[in-house]
Amino acid sequence: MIRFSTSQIYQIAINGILEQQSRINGDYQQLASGRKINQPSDAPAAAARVIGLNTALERFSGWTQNADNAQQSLEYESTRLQSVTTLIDRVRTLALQMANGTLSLQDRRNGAAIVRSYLGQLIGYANAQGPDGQYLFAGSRTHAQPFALNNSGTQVNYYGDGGQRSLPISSGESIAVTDPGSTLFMNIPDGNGTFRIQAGNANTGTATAAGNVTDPAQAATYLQANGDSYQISFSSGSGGLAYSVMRGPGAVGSAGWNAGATQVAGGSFSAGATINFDGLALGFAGNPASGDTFDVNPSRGQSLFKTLLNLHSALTSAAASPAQNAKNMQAINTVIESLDQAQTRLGSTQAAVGTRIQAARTAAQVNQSVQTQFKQIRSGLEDANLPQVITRLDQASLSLQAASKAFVQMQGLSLFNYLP
Amino acid sequence: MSSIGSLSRIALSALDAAQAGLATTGNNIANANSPGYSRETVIQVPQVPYGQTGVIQGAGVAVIAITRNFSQFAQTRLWQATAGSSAATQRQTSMAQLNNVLSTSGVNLTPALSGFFQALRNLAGNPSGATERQALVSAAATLANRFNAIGGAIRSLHLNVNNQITGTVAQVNTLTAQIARLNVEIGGASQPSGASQPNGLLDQRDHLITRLNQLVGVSVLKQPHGGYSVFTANGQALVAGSKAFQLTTRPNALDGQNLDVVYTPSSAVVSNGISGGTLGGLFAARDTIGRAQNSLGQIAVAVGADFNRRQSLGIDLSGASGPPLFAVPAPQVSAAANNNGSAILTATLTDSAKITGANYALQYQGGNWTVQTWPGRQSVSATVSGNTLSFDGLTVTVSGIPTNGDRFLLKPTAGAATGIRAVLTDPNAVAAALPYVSSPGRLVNGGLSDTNTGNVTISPGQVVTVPAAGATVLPAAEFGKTLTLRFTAPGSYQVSDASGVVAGGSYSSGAALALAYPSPPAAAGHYWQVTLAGSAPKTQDSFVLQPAGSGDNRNALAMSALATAQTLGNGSASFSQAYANLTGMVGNAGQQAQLAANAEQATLNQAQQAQQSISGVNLNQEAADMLRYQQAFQAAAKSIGIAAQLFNSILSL
Repeated sequence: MIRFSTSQIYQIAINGILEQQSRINGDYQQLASGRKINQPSDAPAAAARVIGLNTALERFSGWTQNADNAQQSLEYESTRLQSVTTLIDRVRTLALQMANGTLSLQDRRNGAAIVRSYLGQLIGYANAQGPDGQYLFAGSRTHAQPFALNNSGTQVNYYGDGGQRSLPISSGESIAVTDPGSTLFMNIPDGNGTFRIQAGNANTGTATAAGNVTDPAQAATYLQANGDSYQISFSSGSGGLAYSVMRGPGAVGSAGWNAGATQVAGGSFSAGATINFDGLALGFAGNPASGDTFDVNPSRGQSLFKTLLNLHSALTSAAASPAQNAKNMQAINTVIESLDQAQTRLGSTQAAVGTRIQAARTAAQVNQSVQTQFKQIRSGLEDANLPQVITRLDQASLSLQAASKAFVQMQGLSLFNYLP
Repeated sequence: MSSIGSLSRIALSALDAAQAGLATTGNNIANANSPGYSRETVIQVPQVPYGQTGVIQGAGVAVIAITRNFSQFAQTRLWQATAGSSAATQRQTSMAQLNNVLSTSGVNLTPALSGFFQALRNLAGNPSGATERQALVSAAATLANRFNAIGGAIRSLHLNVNNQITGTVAQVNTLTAQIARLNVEIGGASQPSGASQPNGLLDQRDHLITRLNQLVGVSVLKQPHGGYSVFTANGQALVAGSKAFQLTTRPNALDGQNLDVVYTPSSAVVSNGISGGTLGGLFAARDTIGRAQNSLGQIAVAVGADFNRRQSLGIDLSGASGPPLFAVPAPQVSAAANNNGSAILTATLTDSAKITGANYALQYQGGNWTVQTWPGRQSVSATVSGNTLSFDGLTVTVSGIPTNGDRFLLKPTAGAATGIRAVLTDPNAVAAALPYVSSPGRLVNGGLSDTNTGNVTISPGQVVTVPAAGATVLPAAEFGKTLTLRFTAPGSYQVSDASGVVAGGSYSSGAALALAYPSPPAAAGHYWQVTLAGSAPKTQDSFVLQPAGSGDNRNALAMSALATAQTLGNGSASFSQAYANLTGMVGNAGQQAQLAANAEQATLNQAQQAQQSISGVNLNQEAADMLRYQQAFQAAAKSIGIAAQLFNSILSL
C-alpha cells in the first residue's frame, strides 16, 4: 500500500483540476481563433507549411490580379485597335473611289481634305491614352506623346521606343500587356508586302501596272535577300512596242544598279499582256508609250501615316494629262496595297491580343482553382476541427466537474469529522 | 517486589509518553502544510528496572527520541527531479515566449513580406504610378519595421535571459549561505549519540537544498558530523561545512553579450557544466534564442542585399541608377577581452546567398587563423589571401598584428534584424525600369525611324555578370547614353553615341553588345547586354538603345520575382521559405521543450509522491494517532486513579 500524505492528496487533486483546465483553455483558444495552430510549437511542421501556403496563395492572388489587369488593358488596347482598323477601312474605301481617272479636280481636292482629317484621327488614335493618362502605344515612354506630325506636315515621327510591358500571370507564364507603336504603325511593308511598283516620272502613256508573286521563293531571293530592283522599260521596236526587264542590285538608277543591271526578260508587248520574270507577274491596264518605265522595288518599311500622306500627295498632285493621271492611279494603287498590309499587321496584332486575353482568362481561372486547392490544404493544416474540439471540450468539462466533485467529497472524508 | 508506588510511577511514565505522543501528533497536524516538513514519530521503549531479582516487573515506558520519517534516497531523488523539472520548465517558458513572438497572431513577418511583394507587383502593373511608388516605399518601411519588431522582441528575450541568470545566481548565493549557517546550527544541536536530532533544522536544510536544486542542479555529500557539502555539477563546492562559496556572473570573454556564471574562489567559468535548475534551462534557451535571432537576421541581410542589388541594376524615374532601398548593419566583429595583439578585424558581406545563421570564432595560432562556428565549434575552411579570409559569403580583413591565441567573434547576422532600415524615401527613386530599351531603327530628330530591310532583330537586353564570348564591351562611361548600332556592311557594325563612333565589331548572328554598369558597390561587375540575331543584315540597318522610359516595369518584375527566388542558403530557400524554416525550428524547440517539461514534471510528481509517502503528514493517520494517544493518556490516568484507590484502601485499614 502506498501511503499518501494529505498535502499530496490535495496536490494530486489540484494537479488533475489544473490539467483539465489547461486542456479546456487550449480548446477555448482553438474555438476562439478557429485555428488549431496558434503558435508554431502547436505543430511545427504544419506551421512552416502554412507559411509556405500563405506565401503561395499571396503569389497566386497576385498573378490573378495581374491577369485581371492584363485582361482589362488588353481589351482596352483591342478597342483602340478596332477604331484604327475601321479608320483604315474608310481610308481604303476613299482610295478606291479616288482611283478613278474621271474624277474632277474638286472631287480630288475634297478627297485630299478628307485624307488630311483621317490622318489627324489616326494620329489621335495612335496617341491613345489609358485611363491613367499614360500613352498606350509609346513603348516604355508612356509619359510623352509618342506620335507627332512635323511642322511641314510631311512626316509623322515616333518618339516612343520598342519597349513592351509584360506581367506574370501564372507560374512561369508572362504575357505582354502593351504593344509599342513602332511595331503597330511604323515600318509596315509597303506595296503588296513583297514589292512596290512605281511609274516613271516621265511616263507619257496611260498604262498602270499591277503585279503579284508567282514564285515566292524566287521573289524573296532576288528582292528581299539580294535587295535587287527591276526596271521595265518600253520601247518601240520593229514589230511595235517591245519591253525589256532589267535587274540590278540596289535602287533603280543608283550607281550600283546602273553598273550591275542585266536583262532578265524582254520581248514584244501587246496590250493586256502579262510580263513574267523572276517569279513575278505584271499586268498592265491602259497603254504604255515608248520610253515609259515602271520600277519594281522591294517592299520597304513605311509608317501607316506615310501611306496616308502618300494618298494625300497623290490626290493633290496635278492631273492635267492622262499620263499624269495614270501615274497618280499607280500611286493610289500602291497606297491601297499598303493599306492592306497595314490591315494585315493590325489584324495579326489583334489576333495576338485576343490570344493574350484568352491566356489571361485561362490563367485567372487556373489560379483560382489552385488557390481553392491551396486553401483547402491550409484549412486542413491549421483550421480547428470544430466538432472534434467541441466534443473534446465537453469531455474535458465533464472531467473537470468530476475532478472538482471528487475533491470536495474527499475533503469530507477526514477522520477528524468523526472525532468526538 | 512490586509496590503501589511503582504502579503510579509506571502510570506517570505512561502519562508522559502519551503526552509526548499527543504533542508530536499535534505538531504533525500543525505542519501538515509546511513545505519540507517530515512527519515526526515518538519512539518509546519499555523501562527496565535495575537490580531486581526473582519476578521481574516492568518499570513503565520511556520516550527516547522523536525521529522524523525520512529517506535519504527518496529525498535525493526528489532533489534530482526538482533540478530536472525546473530546468525543463524554465526552458519551456522561454521557448513559449519565443513562440509567442513568432505566433500567427504576433508580430509575424509573413504579412509584411507579402505586403511588400504586393506593392512590387502593383508597381510592375503601373511602373510610373506615383501611388504605387509611394506604396512601395511605405511597404519597404513596414517590412524593415517588422524585422525590427521581431528582432527587438527576440533581443529582449535574450536580455531577459541574461537578467534572469544574474537574478538566479544571487538567489543561489543566498541559499548557499543559509545552508552553511544551518550546517553550523545542526552541528551544535546534534547530540553525539545521535539519539535526538534537531528535526526542524534538518527539514529546513533539506528544503533549502530542494530550493537550490530549483535554481541550479547540485549534488550533496553528507559529512560525518551531519554537515552537508554541496557541489555544482562540475564539482565546485558551493557549501563546505560552515563555508559558502559564491557564484557570480561576468560577460563571456569572447561574446560579451552573453553572461557566464563564474565560480568565485577559482574564477573558473562553470556555465558549460550547468544543466539543471532554472540556470540550466536559461542556458539551453539562450542558444535557441540566439539561433532564432541569427536566422531572422540572415533573412534581413538577404532582403537588403538582394533588393539593393536589383535597385542598382535598374534606373529610377530620373534615369539614374536606383539608390539602396535598405540599409543593413555590417557583420559585427568583436575582439576577445583577453587579446594581447593589436589586430583589428573587419568583415564585409560578399554573397548574401552563401551566408549562414552561424556566428564564427576566429583564432590566431602559430601564424594561422582558424575559423570555427560559435558556439557549435564546427571547423570552417576559409580561403586565405594575404590578410583577408573568405568563407561562407564573408570576407574578413585583418589589420594590425595578432598574437598567438588572440580570438575574435564574428556575428554576420545577429544585428541585422534589429538594425535593418528602409532608407529610400523618394518614391521617384524606385528603380522600376531597366537601363535600356532596344528598338530597331535609328533616331532622326528625336523620332524613331525604322527603315531596316534586313532580318536582324535585337533582344530586349538583360543584365549579365560575364559578357558573352566575343561581345563588344563598352566602358561604363557610355552607360546611360543613347547608343546607335549601325551596319556599315553586312558583316560589320559600328556603335556610336551622340558625339561619334565608340566601338565597332564584326557581325555574325548571335553577336552581343555589352555595356559595363558604373560602379556603385552593388552594381560593380555587371553588364547590360543585348544580342543581335538574324542571318542577313543590310547595310545601314540600325538599332538604337535608349534609356528606358517611365513605363518600363522590367526591373520591378525582376524585384517581384525575388518573392520566389531561392536566394538564401546557397540557393535552397526563398525569403518566405527561410522564415518558414525559422518558424519550424522555433516551433520544434517549443514542442520539444513542452514534451520535456511534461516528462520532467511527471518524474517530479513521482519523486514527490515517493518522498511524501514516507515523510508526508496524513491527517487521517494523525487523527487515529490522536485517538490512540488520547486513550493511552486516559488509561494511564485511570491507572493513577486505581493506584490512589489502592493507597486509600490501605490507609483506611
